[in-house]
Order: sequence, then structure tokens, then C-alpha cells
Amino acid sequence: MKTFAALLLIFLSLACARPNYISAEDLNPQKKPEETQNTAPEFPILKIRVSLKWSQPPTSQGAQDFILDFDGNVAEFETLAVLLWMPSMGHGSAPVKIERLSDYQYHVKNVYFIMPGDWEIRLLLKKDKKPIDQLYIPLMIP
Amino acid sequence: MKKLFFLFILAVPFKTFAASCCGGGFSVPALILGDDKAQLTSTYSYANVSDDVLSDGRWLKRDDKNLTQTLKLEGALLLSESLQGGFGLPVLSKTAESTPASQGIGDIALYLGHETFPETSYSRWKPKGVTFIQINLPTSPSIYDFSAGNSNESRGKGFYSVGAGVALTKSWVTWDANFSAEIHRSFARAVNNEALGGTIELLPGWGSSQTVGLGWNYKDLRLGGSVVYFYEDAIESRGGTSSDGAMQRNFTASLSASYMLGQESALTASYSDQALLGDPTNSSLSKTINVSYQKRWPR
Repeated sequence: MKTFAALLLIFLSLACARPNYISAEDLNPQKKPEETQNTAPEFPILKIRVSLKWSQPPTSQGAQDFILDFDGNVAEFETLAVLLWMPSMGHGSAPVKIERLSDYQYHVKNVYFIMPGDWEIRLLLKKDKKPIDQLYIPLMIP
Repeated sequence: MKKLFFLFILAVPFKTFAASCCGGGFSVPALILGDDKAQLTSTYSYANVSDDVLSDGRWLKRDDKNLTQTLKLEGALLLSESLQGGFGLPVLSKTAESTPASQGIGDIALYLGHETFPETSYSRWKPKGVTFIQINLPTSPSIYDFSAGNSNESRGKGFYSVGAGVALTKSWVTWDANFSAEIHRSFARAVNNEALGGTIELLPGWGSSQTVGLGWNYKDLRLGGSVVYFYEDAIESRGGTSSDGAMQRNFTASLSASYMLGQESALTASYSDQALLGDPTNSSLSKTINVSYQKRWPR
């Protein structure tokens, strides 16, 4: 029995976890004070570009907000929907509030990332209440 | 008496842990493993999420003081000479920095156990054991149900689950060993929630856990250790928004000390850590302190 216990201890010591913590560089985009998306991604069908500016670096604690600036023929869609989604775990978060500032600019508030990890901001453009294009913006939430 | 002691308290470490928020948390029930007609187990747990592991294996340090306190009552009753039935009723209190606290019941579990491997004669190696089937009821809000920006409101798995497994124990003079394994299946459900972009169908899959434990006994004291491996299939979502999900996997290492209070009750304190062993994936890892009191009624 003692031999078995000794073997078990050796096995456990070999099986120790080796944490691979995300480097500061990987989290760097969120550490920039204003803009977290340097490049403006493009909706694949409508070819409208959008840039995202955070009021403060997003975290998993408390409410966040950001501004979406559209560049392109915005007349092709009528409404914007924003969904926060954690694809690895298959769940979302609370509904955000969207305030239209102009045809080209929206203020998205009540953004809650309820836990750290890989999230997506899923933007959906609708016309006649039907989705016509969508864009997923991935980001790492510390 | 020593033999009974081994068997009774071995029921306590048969726990599995998983991501507190997202579809894990299937646990092996507190089965009657000795010569009792009933037992009641009350467990207080204090868990702190220390790390999150992403689906690609990278780790994130969690520093939001994410605490879950659980008071779990588990009862088991012999229904016949070899058949037993039982329940598990957890009450949770969840707190985290910048997030309102939430309290309430968790998911209720019901089970039936059968003494499939009785100890009818002496054997040096043959264990005694109980097989069981278990159903988990989604009686509390899950990550798919809450409408406010508060993850603390999520106290349950969110799915009906059915599982089956076996718990085996073997004791020698001062040592004992235990093994348990279960496999479970969670069932799909549709969710209509503005936060999910409308109606989506959530498609969970299979999950399993295995526990290996070892104990050393001296008089009325038992010192033990165990390792739990937990696996859960990816949860797919289809509909308003879609994703393939990613499987969850984690390992829980536990150390425990139990003390026999007379012939019919035992007190156990244990520490569990999910950040010590293996290569966890897509999981929130906790460090947990458990204190458990078990009362038994002999046949």
C-alpha cells in the first residue's frame, strides 16, 4: 500500500499543471486608453467599415460602453443590433442599450462582459427587420 | 467499527467540480456505502475562482473576488435491501467585485442507487460498490436565463441531465481507496432571450467524471486525498446567433481530514484546488474549502 501511495505521489507531481498565462502583449489592445481597434473591420456583404472606440479599457467588471463609427453606405441598413457572445462557452450577456447619435455613429452602453475570456461583439445590420449582414469582432477581456 | 468508518466517510470526497457559470457541476451523489438505512450530509463550501482557462489552453488570472458559498443538503434512504434513493439540494450565495450579490437554491439532484457489488465474503482486492442513476433538474437560473448584467444570478447548469455511474471502495488495515466514475447526458433546450439575439437552441452533449482517492486511517481520524477528472462536451448554439462551443476539462485535487464523532456521525474538512493538476481547458478554476457533517441511521 505504501508503494502504491508513493507511486501515486510521483504521478501527481508529474501531473502538475503548467499555467500558460496570457502575456501582457496579448492584453495590450485593451490597455490603450482610447481606441482598442486600430483597424476598421468590414461587413462582408455591404462593405461598410466600422471602428470601435471604448470610453475606457473593457474588463469583466461593471458596465462598459463604446462608440461605433460607420464608414460606407449606411443607407443600406435600417437598424443595428449588438450582441455580446462568448463562443467557447456558448452564452451571451445582458442586452446592451444602443443610442443612435447620427447616421454614422452609435453609442453602445450597458456592455457587461460577465467573465474574463474570449468574447465577440456581434454586430447585426437589419433592413425590414431582417438581418442583411453581420460582423463579429473578437476581443480578449481580462 | 474501523471498517464502517472507512465506508461512511468515503462518501464525502465523491464530488466533482466544474465551471461555476457555464454548464458544469454534475456531481456524484452522497451514497449510502455502509450498513445504514439512512444518512444526511450537510456540506458548507467556500469557493474562490482564481483563474480562467480559455479554450486554447491559455490562462487568465481572476482578481474580481469571485466567491461562491454553498450549503448543500444531501439525503439518502434505503428503499429495499439493496436499493436506495436520495436527493441533493444546494443553496448558493454568490458575490463578486462590481457585481450585485445573489442568493438562492441551485439545481436539485435526485438519484437511485443499487448495491451492485456487495461485500459478501472476504477478499483482499475485490471492492464493494454501488451503481447509481441520477437526474439533475434545472431549478435555478443559469447563464442562459438571466436578464440583468449580473453573472451572480447564474446558479445552475441550465439543462436537464441524466447520469449513471459507479462508486467503489476498498479498505485494508490502515489504508482505504475509492474510485467513482459517472457519465451524464444533458438535453437540448430552446431559449428566447433578448440577450441571445432572439430564440436559439442550445445543444449540450455528454460529460463524465472520474475520481480516484486514497485514505490513511488512525483510530477515528482519516486523512485522505483524491483527484477528480471532469469533462463536458461543447455546448453548441443554433438560431438567433450560432457558435460551436468548446469542450470543458479540468482536474480537481483535494485533501481531506475526517473525524468520526461516535458511531453514527462524521465531520470532514477538505481543501480542493483546480489549478494544481493537468491541462484544464475552457474552465473557471476554483479553490474551495469544504466542511461537511454526516449523520447516519444504522439498519
